[in-house]
Parts: sequence; C-alpha cells; structure tokens
Amino acid sequence: MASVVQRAVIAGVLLVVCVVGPSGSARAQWQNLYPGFFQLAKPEVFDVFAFGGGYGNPKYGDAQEGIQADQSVTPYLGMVGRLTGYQLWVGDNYDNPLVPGNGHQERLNFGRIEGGVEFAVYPGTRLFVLGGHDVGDSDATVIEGDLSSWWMTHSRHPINFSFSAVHGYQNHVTSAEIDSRVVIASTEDYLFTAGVGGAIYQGGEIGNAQGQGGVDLGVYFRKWGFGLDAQSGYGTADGYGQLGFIKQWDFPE
Amino acid sequence: MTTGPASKVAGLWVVISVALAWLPNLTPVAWAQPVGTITQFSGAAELHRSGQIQNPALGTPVELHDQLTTLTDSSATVTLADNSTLSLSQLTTLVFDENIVTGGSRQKTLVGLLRGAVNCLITTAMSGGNPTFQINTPNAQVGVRGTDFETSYIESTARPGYEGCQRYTDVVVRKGVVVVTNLASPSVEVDVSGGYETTVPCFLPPLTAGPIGIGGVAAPPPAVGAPPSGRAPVKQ
Repeated sequence: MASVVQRAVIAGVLLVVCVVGPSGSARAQWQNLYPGFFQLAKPEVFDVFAFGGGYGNPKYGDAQEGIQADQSVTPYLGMVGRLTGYQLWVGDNYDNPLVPGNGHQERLNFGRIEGGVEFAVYPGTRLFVLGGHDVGDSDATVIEGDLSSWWMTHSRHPINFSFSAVHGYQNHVTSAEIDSRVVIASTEDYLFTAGVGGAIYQGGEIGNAQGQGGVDLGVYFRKWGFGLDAQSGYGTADGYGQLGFIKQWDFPE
Repeated sequence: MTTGPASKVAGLWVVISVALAWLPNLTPVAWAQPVGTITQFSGAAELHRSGQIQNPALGTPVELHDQLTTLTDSSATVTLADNSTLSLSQLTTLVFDENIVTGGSRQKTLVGLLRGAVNCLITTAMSGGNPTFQINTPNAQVGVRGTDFETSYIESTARPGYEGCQRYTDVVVRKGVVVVTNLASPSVEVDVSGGYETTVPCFLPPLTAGPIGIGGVAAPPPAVGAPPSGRAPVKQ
C-alpha cells in the first residue's frame, strides 16, 4: 500500500512541476493541450450513471448493479463516487473465490463503495482513479483505474479503447477488463459499435495469467442516454457470455 | 428664372433624389416584412428593431433584419411561415438577414448566428433543387439540405489542440444533410449527415464529420466480465 501512496505522491509532484516549472514553448504547449487548466468548469456538470449487467460461464456467474455520480470541478478534473452491488454464484465443488480455502459457498453477496477522481486527459479520453472497500461477503480494500479513450473522433468510424483494472488487497489478485470497439454506424437515434474484448486476471494464488476474450456488440440510444453492450467468447473458464447496460443523466449547473 | 422643360426635369430629379435619399430610412417601417412569430418563450430577451430595443413575448412577430437575443436562463422559438422552427438557447443572438418568399413558399432564408446556439427544424429545406435555408456564423456558413440540426457559435473560449483559436462553430445534424464551410475557405465543403457533427475552428476548414457525442461523457458500460472478486473460482 505504501508503494502505491509513494507513487501517487511522486505523480502529484511531477504534475505540479509540469504545470508550474516549464517556461516558454513548454508552457505554451501545455496551454495548447489544457487551456484554462485551473479555471472552474463552466457550466459545471453533475452526471449520474446507473449501470448493471450479468455474466455467466460454466464455473460461475455474477450480476452487478450500481450507481455513479460525477461532479466536474475544472474542465479536466472531476470527483467521482460509485456504489456497486455484486451477486456471485459459484458452481458446485468450486472454492470461494473471495477468500480462497474457505470451501464452497453457492452464493456470495457484497457491495463495493468507491470514491476518487476523474481526469479528462484529452478530449474523448477519460481516466478514473478510484479507491474503496467491500462490504458483505467480501472484506477487500480495492484500488481501481478505468480508462476510456476515443480515437479518430472526426471520422465515420471512431475507435474506442477502454480498460477497467481492479486490484483487491484481500486476495491480492489484479483483474482487468479490456475492450476495443469501433463505431459501425451513427444515426439520429442510435450509435452502433462492434469490437473485441475480454478480461485478464493474475496475482495472489493465480500463478499464470488467466483470462478470456470474445466479440463485443453495443448500441447506444441517444434519446434515452441508454447503452447496451453484449459480449461472448471463450477463456480459462470455458465459454462465457455477458451483458451490460448504462443509463446516463446530465445535470448542468 | 427659367420655367422651361429643362428646369421641370431638373426639379423632378431633385424630388426623386431626395426621395431616394430618404428611402433607406423609411424601408424598415414602410417595408417591414414578417419572417415569423415567437411561438415559445421563457425568461427574458431583447428584440432589436430599427435601432430600438423591445421586450418580446409569446406571439410577437419577427420581421426582416430583426435581431433577437435571449438572456441568461432564457429560450425562444421562432416559427417561420412554413412552420419551420428556430429554437434559441440562452445567451443566443440571431439576426434575420434575408427572407425571400415567392407565391407563398420560401425561396431563401438567411439568418446570422452571432453567438450561442440555435436548433433548427426545417420543413422545406430545398426548393427547385436549391437550398432554401442558410445560417452564417462569424466564421462558418451552414447550408441546409436537411431538416433537423443545431448550430452553435462560441468565442473567447479555448479548446485543447487548437493553438490560439478561441472561436468555434459546432454543427450537430440529427436528420438530413447539412453542408458546412468556413467563410475564410468556402471551397472546402464538409457534408454532415444525420447522426454526425462537425466543428469549424477559427479560419480552419470544417473537421471531417464524426458521430454525435463521441468524445463527450458517453462511455461504454463499466466492465462486467472480469470476476468481481478478481479471481475465478477454482475446483476444490
């Protein structure tokens, strides 16, 4: 944990040095990339997201549902709070994945409370750095980094790359969902995406990295601010399928 | 003193000259041409007409050369004769520069967007193969072949990646096609179809159209695929 804090402090110092230290062309370049860096966002925006989904494979299945609130502070920085509930169904004769060695437990329920900051690294690229703790059947402290980045935004088929990496300090496993999608069509009402994605996890009692991968299809309903995403493929736990949704509300202040 | 035909002609010319000299002053009043009517209104606005400022209200007619400005937390919709609507967001200034109507149908309407955002729902975008509606901002020209689109113009605001540029025209098209050019380089046209948007930064040509909302806050749903525990169950 100490190393994580140290790295965060070093990153903060480097950020300050980058902003305050350079002069001349470097400062101009900074101004070009991040104009009005220290100004408050105008208008400020409060976003609320509801999200959920389900996942299944022959070994286990899970459902998750949650809510996330974002409050912009500057054009490039925001504060984030997220509450997520998880239900985990474990197949017969399989061990408790939360506390390995605890024996089989058919169902596990836990909640995850997280808070952190959101960085608008560049137009179309957002990075969330969150920390939190689980309650219920899991007692893990977690740290999470989520990135979503759109490329070629001014083209017919922009590409999105995203990852969501979580490290749990209870079983010392790091898991990451990594997806890449391309916009295949955009209309007045819908945005259709297609791509590939998967997950990878390693650490703790997992010796070699394990994971899965498959194809991904998504649709976003503009009028409702509602997105649906489906993925199916194959991996360590055999074939799998997953479905996720997100609903967004904007509240300009 | 001469009283012949020459002096009469000269006198006539004086009268005509004086009349012509006064004509521009009389034009706004004598030839006031209705363009539309305010059919939705909330908050406060200013209607500049013939050098005077009025406070418009629901039902106020809008005439050629009127300049309509919405104030903070205000909005207004102007419905044109063919039921096309122009919806002004807050802090928006729109000038009705040209309106040609022949036989009851609109041939050409030209409006100027000086600041803010206007959402247009155009019922008659084309007439005889020619576009009938056009919006000019201080740096862009938006020719309409479509029916539902939004144009906004902002200045004194910097955006990442456009060094030194502080004025932008954004065009979001929901239905139909809109042709966007920069007034500084009108030969470079970008067609924006429904579901896409573009931006005109300062004197640069319009950017290639991209899907609406990309780069905004809409992001793919949070991941659900990785085991929530970070570890898949293993056989006992």
